[in-house]
Amino acid sequence: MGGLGYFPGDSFLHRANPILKLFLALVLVTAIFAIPSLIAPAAVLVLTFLLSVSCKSGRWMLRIIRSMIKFSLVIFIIQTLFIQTGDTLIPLFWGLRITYQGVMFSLGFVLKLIASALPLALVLRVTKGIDLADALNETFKIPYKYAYAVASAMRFVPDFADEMKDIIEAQTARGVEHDTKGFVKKARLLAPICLPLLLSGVRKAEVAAISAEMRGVSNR
Amino acid sequence: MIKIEKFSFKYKGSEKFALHDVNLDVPAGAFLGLSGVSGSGKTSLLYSCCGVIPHFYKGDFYGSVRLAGLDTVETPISELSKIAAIVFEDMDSSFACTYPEDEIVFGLRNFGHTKAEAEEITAKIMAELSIEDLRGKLIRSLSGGQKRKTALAAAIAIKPKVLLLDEPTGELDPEAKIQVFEILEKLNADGLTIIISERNETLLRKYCTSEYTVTNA
Amino acid sequence: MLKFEDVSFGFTEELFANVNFALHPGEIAVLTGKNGVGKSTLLRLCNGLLKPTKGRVRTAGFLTDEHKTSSLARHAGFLFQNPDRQISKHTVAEELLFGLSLTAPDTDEAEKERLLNAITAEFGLNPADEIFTLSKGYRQLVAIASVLITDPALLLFDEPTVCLDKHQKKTLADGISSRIKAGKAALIISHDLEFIDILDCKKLILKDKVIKE
Repeated sequence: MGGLGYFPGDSFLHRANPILKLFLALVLVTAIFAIPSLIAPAAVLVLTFLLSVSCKSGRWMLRIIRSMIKFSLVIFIIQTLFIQTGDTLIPLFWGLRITYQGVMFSLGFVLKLIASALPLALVLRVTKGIDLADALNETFKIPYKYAYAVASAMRFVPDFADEMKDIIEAQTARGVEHDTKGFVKKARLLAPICLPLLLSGVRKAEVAAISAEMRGVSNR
Repeated sequence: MIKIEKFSFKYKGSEKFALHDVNLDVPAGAFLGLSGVSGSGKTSLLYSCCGVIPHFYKGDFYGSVRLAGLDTVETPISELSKIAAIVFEDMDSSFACTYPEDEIVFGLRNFGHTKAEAEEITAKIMAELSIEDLRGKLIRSLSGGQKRKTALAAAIAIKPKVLLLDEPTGELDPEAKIQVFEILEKLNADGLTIIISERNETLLRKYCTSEYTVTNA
Repeated sequence: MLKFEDVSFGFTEELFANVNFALHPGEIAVLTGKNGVGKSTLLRLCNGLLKPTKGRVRTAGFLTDEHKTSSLARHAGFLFQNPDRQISKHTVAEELLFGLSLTAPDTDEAEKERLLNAITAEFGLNPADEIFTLSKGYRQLVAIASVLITDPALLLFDEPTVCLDKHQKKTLADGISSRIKAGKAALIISHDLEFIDILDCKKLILKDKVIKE
């Protein structure tokens, strides 16, 4: 999750119209799922990476891709095991097998998943939430209160990531083995952090909403 | 400026009163410090002064709270928020924006200033609080003291008559604490009514001109 | 109990350089220094949440380089600045027993009950209370109690009194002192003069990349 959210800069993308950026990202995502060929996600992947480089975020994008791959690995494995039709590649225990069709389908699915997340992550990185709120309000006449809610959600993404890091740190210091090397164990330990994360999320959202109301967000 | 009479409040779902039979008269221009043990209801009292209770936190409301003559139950929050500004204890969550200057502009534009006006006022306020150097820095990367000053600047930019602060100096080092209080002292001298809850009794007695001890017994 | 041997640390620029200090059983040290000077970072080096870039940190006899933070937890009780980050359960009792179940999983029911009663009485807590309905001061006490119930040899506290009132500060100071008398040690970050005054402690200042007494 680290590194999601707005990052200051003065690139072409930073200065572009927020709605245009969001629109383009949505077009790319739609294309990935609308075009059956795998060329679409591959092209989006390359295009998004090049755009990231143009706003000095190439290295950041590689990091995001890397963590997305880690996350997708689990999905890939599960999906491959679920698809039992087709030509056997590797026979497994209990009559399970890895099939050619299973691998190809899962690979495509994961590729689409990764490619579709990236344009949105990039928009978040180069757009200030408050600018998007202004633009939504002015261009589409969406009531400012709702436009602001969208912006506010964007502003909380990095906070949420920080919070998660802090909670993991705090629990590790108490003896929860988040610092284990085992991947499966690590993933299982993430479940118990949901409660504190959710509780504090609700509290934060409450304070944020009241604070915005007290500063007249509904007046506009 | 604020007149509280026979006021009691119980949060929805709670069994005991958060505040019980409070009578308090805060004249215009006061610098009132709220003291009291943990859980005594200082935050609830601040919320009640500006209408956060009962508009956002519901519950059983007895007695009356008047802000500049307006009954806080009957007056919509959009009106109350023009008179009273509040700086929350959890200021990290209360920020609406990514940059300090945007944060100040945010409130100003909500209250009807044009973009150009808002930017002009923002520049003035930032100079007044000596936080011009924070321009262009991410709020989340600021120190506690810098964040407090940003929240304070955003609150006073809209020219409220009353400023409410909930534990504004808790996590600050002694030097930053004093800086915050000195800013408040100056604002108070210019006529702003201030109510503040503060655990540090030495500071509270040094700067505040009156003190009220909150008890929920 | 705690020993820094020529410790340096920094990501891009160095925060500390060649820090040496030791804390012995029966000692309390209070660490002060300006905001942003790296006090919380230094505390994180003590239980291995961060590892020194140079030098060694020895906590309760264990090198933090060689042991996981989660296994050091039974020796080093760590309190974070914001209690809400470390609270993981609904009720006070669940929260306190959660810490115990991690550091001393073999504790039997009767002993758990005894420890729970003792610690809640000491800090004036009600085991059945839902934590998120409590005031911040009480939430802080819950976090403190959840560390102390595990009876760690070394206490590492980051600004423990920020949300406490006068009476709660006294309770905490007494609680720390009684454990120090029993041979534990404590390193506490605090600016709270009122609190430091009632602790019998040595004072450390973090300044210009080193710790001074």
